[in-house]
Amino acid sequence: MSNLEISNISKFYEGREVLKNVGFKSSEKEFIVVVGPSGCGKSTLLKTIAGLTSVDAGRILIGEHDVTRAEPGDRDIAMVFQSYALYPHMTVAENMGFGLRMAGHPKQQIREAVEHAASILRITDYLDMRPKQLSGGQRQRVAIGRAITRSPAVFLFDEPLSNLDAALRTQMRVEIGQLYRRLDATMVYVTHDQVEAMTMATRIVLMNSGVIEQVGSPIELYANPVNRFVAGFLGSPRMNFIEASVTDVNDEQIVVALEGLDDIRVARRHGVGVSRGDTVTLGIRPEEISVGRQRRHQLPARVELVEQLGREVIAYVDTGSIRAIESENGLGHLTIQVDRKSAMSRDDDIHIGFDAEDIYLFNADGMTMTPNRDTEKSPVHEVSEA
Amino acid sequence: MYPRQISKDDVLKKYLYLAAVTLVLMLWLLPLGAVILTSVRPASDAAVGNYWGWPSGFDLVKNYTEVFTQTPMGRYFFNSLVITIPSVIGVLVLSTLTGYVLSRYRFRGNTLLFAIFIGGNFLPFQIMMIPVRDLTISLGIYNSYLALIIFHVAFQTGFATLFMRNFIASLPDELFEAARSEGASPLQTLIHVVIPLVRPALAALAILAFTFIWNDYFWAVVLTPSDAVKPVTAGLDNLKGQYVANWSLISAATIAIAIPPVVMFFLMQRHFIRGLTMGAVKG
Repeated sequence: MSNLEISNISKFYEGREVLKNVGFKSSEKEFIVVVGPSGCGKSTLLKTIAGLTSVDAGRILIGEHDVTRAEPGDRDIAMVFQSYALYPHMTVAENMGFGLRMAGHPKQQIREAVEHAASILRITDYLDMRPKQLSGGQRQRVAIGRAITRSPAVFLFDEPLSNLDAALRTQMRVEIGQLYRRLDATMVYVTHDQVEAMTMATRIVLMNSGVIEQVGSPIELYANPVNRFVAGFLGSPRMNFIEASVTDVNDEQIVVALEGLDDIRVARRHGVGVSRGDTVTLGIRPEEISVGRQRRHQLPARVELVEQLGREVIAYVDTGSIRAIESENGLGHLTIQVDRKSAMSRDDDIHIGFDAEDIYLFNADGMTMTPNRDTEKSPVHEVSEA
Repeated sequence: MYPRQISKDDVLKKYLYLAAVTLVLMLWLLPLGAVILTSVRPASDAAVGNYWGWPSGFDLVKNYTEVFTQTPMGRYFFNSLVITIPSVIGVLVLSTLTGYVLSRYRFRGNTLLFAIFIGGNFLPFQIMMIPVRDLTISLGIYNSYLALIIFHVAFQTGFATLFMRNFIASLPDELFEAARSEGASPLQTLIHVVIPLVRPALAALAILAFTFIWNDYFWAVVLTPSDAVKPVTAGLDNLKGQYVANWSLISAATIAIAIPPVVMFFLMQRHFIRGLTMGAVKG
């Protein structure tokens, strides 16, 4: 049983509340990725689950046991560190068997557990080597192997791939995903990398300044962000935000005006408060903006910078009157992402367009004012917030 | 102001440098050379004032044999070992424990405790002479091995704690977190993780403490007046008679006394391994 429940955790550090009433629950085997910008409290959250940091309020349950005050070794967890944290004076096999040896398990049993874990991770050949003889990727495998050897109920990963180069990172990402399917355990994986979050998670916990902003499957968070922070955090290149004002409101629709464009009629989220004259933020993802005249709303733009990524092209365009806020380059340019075949170069004058149904609206507090979109039913679990 | 390398082409500078180094080295080693030379002279040489000249004969074997047969030096030597070895072990054990706790555990008074350990080092021995002597008398250990062992351990542990604390504090935090999350107790972490990784520090400390305790004269004179427990340093003084001094014998004894710290250095040298924590963290 890999039940993990965290409820109302608070943690103060030097007078500052680094975790504010944080909670989520996983009732079955899940791959939970905790993601957020640096300093959002995600690593602290992981350490509280591990028991390396104490909490000031709240409860942690692992497999039906309240472990809030338990020592890390008694929590049925295993942790994989960003810096690997291998014992340099021990061989790979000794590193992997350390936990069981400390617990006084018989030698034969330790050897079997180590060999089993080593075969899963294909590091059997390195068992007699020392950490310094291994490459970064191999060391991280050993660190994961050390966690597997103890067969815990919950695996905790603290940015395990950050020290690896890009190619290795992709490879290890896939491997950890496969490992998850193979092992009967819940994984809690902390990262600042949204690609890791999107690709590996069954559920994402998105954090910002000590609070959980949203919990849900990757596609739910991407398609239906609850607020502007979530919308801006997930997706690369990030969503364009433009300031706009509400010109008309009815039960179904919000009408916003942007200079030089027809009135944009956007569906209204049920029960959301809005009135004429409100300043709102309009959000649109770069891939929803297309070049040409085929969309409902369109405007002329000048290409300022083109990034050719091979598979796609990212262009930063200046639309004159409409300025993006918090834009990637700080110049108020809109970011658009188009097919690689679209020939574009600097200083080209083009037309860009979008449809009203791809628009998100956020109120002054950043809350989403547009209704949820249909996400394809993915084989993920229900969002349950503790 | 780094010591810059002398260019190979500048021959004059190169030879000047070599000459200067040789000169300094000679000055440095001259007293030692004189003692070594005297230790092989016949006793008569010193009596006629031949301190620096060529020895009139070579009595190397005779002098060194006499040190151990005609004087109680053998006994003093034994005493020194009995005092020094347990003291060094005591210092290493205590300072590893205190250093581990002070560097890895936050508790009220941690810094104060650490400051006391360091501050103790600044007290001059001289002001403690009378109190320590009185204390050993009232404890009933005056003029015994135990008196010297206890006080050497006490006086060395202050500095050794500073040394070990800083060394253990420099180990990566993640290693301790990893050990803790794997269920290792603090003692298990100390034995299986910390001690193997601080071996170079322990070796360096062992040499320092050994040399210090072995060479101690002050406490030996204060606490152990009797020949039965007196270490070599104080014993050496006994070789001087009231009216005559056999300088050849004293020199030979001096050289013999200097050997154990050197042996200690070579014994410990193999533990000075660079980059012991390599491979622990990062790539």
